[in-house]
Amino acid sequence: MGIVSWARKKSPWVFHFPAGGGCNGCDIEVLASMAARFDPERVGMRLMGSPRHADVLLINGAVTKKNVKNLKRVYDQVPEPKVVVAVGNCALSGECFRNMYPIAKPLDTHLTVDIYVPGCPPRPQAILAAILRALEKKFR
Amino acid sequence: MHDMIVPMGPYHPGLHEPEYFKLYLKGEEIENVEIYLGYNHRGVEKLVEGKNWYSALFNVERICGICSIVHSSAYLQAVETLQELDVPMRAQFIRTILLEVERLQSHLLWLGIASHQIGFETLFMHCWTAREKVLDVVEEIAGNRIHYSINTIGGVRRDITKNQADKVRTTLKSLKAEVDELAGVCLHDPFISQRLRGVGVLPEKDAQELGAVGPTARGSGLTLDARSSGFWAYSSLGFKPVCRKGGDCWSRMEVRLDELTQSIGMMEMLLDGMPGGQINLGRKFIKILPGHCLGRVEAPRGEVIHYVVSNGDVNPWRDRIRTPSYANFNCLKKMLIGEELADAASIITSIDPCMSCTDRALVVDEKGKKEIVDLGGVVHAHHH
Repeated sequence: MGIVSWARKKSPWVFHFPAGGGCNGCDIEVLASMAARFDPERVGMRLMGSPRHADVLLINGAVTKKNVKNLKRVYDQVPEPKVVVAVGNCALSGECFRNMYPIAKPLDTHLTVDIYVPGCPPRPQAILAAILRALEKKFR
Repeated sequence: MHDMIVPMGPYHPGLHEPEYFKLYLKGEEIENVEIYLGYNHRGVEKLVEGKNWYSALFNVERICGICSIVHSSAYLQAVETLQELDVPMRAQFIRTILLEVERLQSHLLWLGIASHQIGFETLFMHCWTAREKVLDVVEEIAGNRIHYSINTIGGVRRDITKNQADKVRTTLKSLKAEVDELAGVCLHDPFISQRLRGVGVLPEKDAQELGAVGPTARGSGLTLDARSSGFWAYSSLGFKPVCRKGGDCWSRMEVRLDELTQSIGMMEMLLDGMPGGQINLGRKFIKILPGHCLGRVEAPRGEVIHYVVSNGDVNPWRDRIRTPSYANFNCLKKMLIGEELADAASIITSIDPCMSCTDRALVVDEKGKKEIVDLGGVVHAHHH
């Protein structure tokens, strides 16, 4: 494989996008998975401040109607090829909030999700394993 | 007249939740702030109305991941008072231990985020590694790192065995040493002092008028703490709230650092003094007696209030929730105006905002009538 695809697989940069309607549990487990104990930098992962710098988009939270437009905008800002990871039960199906009035349709009706991580919240090990598995599949 | 408007958010790398601050700048100085929230609104109060009392407990816990047991505790304080239940002492002690554990992990999380905001990445990583020790303690007791789900109506679902208590004590000893080291770094580092002293000042009079709670209020000289009311095991601990007079980001940090040490001490006292007995009342409560009651618990961010109304039915009729960040957000405008743009993220983090707690729909009466309700009369259950 060429040097670009090798670099893409070896240093995937991550952008964490809280799509509203979540309780924060997955936010802090995502941050914990990017902190020193689980050490994602050994596989080249870093949490970035801009979606334009990222290869991987981590989305958590049940999407609220107020966030749908911004969700699509941020999704478009992440350059191709990208990996989209839906973290937590709220991103999967909305969990207990799914039929509430401010919640929009589930995440995968708005954009393509590459891998789903169930859990409330999922363990940091699960989040990291999911990102690595999705990278393996997509950036082969 | 402002030069330009800088939008901070809704998805800012410094804030880990969607919230939108429209900063009006003149040069680098913030002239005015407009705060737009509501990105995280999920309609929890409406959700709870249609569920039975136990499902509502599950939902109420998921209002916030960082203060999850606080919400379930405040809700249960109200429900158990309505039903006139005598929660066993052992269950009360276990609940208090977990409330203090939550405070520990929340303050360590905050310390990490606050240092990240001023650019001190190493301290961020060290704080979150110390926090992992606390999460191991939690996993030992409750089975999960976040959302402990240990509360039930009338007590707790899991007991703390002697083995678990010994493991927790060992972890607390090593955690105490680590917290002392982190506090030493924070209090004596000239860089942190330079970034946080005199920044984001909230005078005591403003803190009182704007209704600040938690470390935001205690950093400005107000000794407000819901634990002073001595509910559950707090009455046996001789608890006194930590207070500072400075009112700036530095004082709020000092308050939280002292609370870390205080929480570790309280947990050790609770583990040593835990009574025997049952951990719950052993039966399910399908209906709760009619009435209305207020549950007040101290979250890491301040006082959480759950006002539960029951019709004697299988569902709660209403659960009105007032979270501390809702009260503290009013203070942000006062703190931000006159400060520089570079300090904005640091000031916002110093009140420890939790958007998932805060986003509530509020109906405001057009005629603007005000009504003062005596809080003292509402705390005990009213049965009609």
